[in-house]
Amino acid sequence: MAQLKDILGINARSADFLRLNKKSARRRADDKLLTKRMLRKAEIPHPKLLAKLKSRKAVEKFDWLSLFGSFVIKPVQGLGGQGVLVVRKKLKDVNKWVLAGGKLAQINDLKLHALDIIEGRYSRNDLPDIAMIEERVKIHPSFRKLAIGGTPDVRVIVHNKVPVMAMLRLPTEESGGKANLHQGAVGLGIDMATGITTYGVCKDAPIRFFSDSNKKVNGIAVPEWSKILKLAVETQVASKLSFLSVDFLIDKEKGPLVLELNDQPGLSIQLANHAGLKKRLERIEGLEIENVDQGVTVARTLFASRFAGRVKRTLEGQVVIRNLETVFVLNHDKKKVSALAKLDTGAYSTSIDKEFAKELGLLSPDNVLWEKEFKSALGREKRKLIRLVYWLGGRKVVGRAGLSDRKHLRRKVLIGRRDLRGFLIDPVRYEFDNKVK
Amino acid sequence: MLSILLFALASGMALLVTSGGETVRAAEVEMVPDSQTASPIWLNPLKVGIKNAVNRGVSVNTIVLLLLFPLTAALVAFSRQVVGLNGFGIFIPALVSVAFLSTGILAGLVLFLAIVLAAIAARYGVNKARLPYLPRMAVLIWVVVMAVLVLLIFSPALSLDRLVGLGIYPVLLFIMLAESNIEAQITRTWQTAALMTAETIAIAIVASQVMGTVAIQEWVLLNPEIAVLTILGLDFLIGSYKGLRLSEIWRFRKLIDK
Repeated sequence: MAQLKDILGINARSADFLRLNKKSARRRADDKLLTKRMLRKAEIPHPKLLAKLKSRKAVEKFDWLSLFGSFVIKPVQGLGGQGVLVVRKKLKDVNKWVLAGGKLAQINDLKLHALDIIEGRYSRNDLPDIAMIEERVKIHPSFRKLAIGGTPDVRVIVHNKVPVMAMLRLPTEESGGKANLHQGAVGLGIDMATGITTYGVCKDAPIRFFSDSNKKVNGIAVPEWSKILKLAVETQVASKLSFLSVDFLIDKEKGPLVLELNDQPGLSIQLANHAGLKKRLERIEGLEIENVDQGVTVARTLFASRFAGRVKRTLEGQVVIRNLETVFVLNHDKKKVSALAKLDTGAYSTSIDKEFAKELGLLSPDNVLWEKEFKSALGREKRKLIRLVYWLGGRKVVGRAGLSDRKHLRRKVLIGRRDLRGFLIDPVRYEFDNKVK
Repeated sequence: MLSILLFALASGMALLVTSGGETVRAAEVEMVPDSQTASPIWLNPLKVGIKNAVNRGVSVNTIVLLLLFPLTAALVAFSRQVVGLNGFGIFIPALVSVAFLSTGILAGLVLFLAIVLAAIAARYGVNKARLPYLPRMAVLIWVVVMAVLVLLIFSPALSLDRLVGLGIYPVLLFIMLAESNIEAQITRTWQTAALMTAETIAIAIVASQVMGTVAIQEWVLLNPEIAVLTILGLDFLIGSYKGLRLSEIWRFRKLIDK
């Protein structure tokens, strides 16, 4: 929670921060094509531009039938997500496209929308504009259940090379698939250290659960958080803006992509984070940040939430585990059964005790993959390989395990390197060792 | 755009001279005893100048309004920077306050309501005809003027006495406000437009009450130098306020520790 003097209001935002933004840099941030050119020069990943249509003639000449995948038609000088048409895909064999809301559009509908944009219907001051067609990102799996008819985006406010505050913006039914808060989207505050969501806001009112699914708004991990922070700082440096927000989309394959910059970001982000921007900005004022990594480190250190220390993750998103862990194995009836496991980076594959596997009902013929000859210190032997699904350090692992005889051992499961990608093993064996330290 | 507003500003001043005559009569009376105690020109240059101008036939009304209009503008700035009411910029609330001063609040509200309703109705009608911008606005003004005409014809029957002596300028100023309202409806949502219009009217009513207060009118007329400099000082004071606006304290109330 914050105090009155910690909160950044419109007056202070204009007087202390927006004044620092140079006019030429602001003009570039307002123009999506110029922004794209800047990002390309700075080698910062961004959604691919498919076409820019400057005139009626260009709209007629453009080969609309070449648009197969998912794409967006939007105004170059647009404001607040207005005039953005989201197209999901083209139907096979027919010249029709499916829009984000599920409606169908003919080629003439797409042309009409592009012409509306060119005539300036959505531009900042009704002046003629340019329509741009942009590739739409493939939605990241961790967001799939959260997004309604649109793509969530991540907004990071950066000042003085330090990411100051961040927010995950989720489109809702009411916002019409757009991620703009004033159109009814949900904003979730993000812990700067871990990239995990904290609090929620919808239409300036705090929320704790999503209204449609009753799921909690906190605890959602934003994928590739480290990369997002780094790119946010890189974008600020390239943009020459002193105070800005950088909006990211996260592509399934390409990772975070910079969608657009905003030189006067909204102030609701403070509600979503339960924290005042002014206090945070004051804390980094005058720091001499030499490079991108230093800025990111400062942000993660200064603006960590209280729970950040309890999260068993490294900065790169690896889960930290001890070499003796309790795992939860999925049995034949799809129930989780706890078991003691030893992590062995000397072994390539995972193995499980034969008796224990039988108990769990995992030896049924449909679960046995094949038999294989194993080489070990005791010579050669034939072992059965079974499918094994288990949870380790809160993460689901789908793998396979060889059957072995571990009857006399306490650890019924031995996990090998094959399943340990993305984990970091802390060789402390017991809680006891921790205390000795 | 600015020149149109300045023209409207000048006309707004003119309207009070012609139609709102009684508003500043009290101040005029006060001028007489004061003129006996002659103040030296180096101490009160503005006051002496005003006195001479009034003696040569310049309307006291115009002078009082000229002195008070900056105060209205400062009030509008205050309501934006400190209170957080948005309204339509600075000219429209300031001018509408002059219009309210001339018509009175009730009659002004009736007039404005009639104009806005007519304009909204006209907008929906014209939208279907798909006319270009300027012809569309011309049709809009035509409809609005017809509505005002009808209102004036029936005003004796509605016993709205202030409307009977209505000048053309308040009507024009209210049409300007209605036009801003429609523009906001087009570029934003009708809810925002309604909110901004309501805020504009609230600011204008407060400002018109201040301008209409006889005590304030007298005071600025008798102490023009202090009044003018104080208003200028107020403007800078308002401009240097960097704290949270009242509306923001409300908006962020859930963030604040109790």
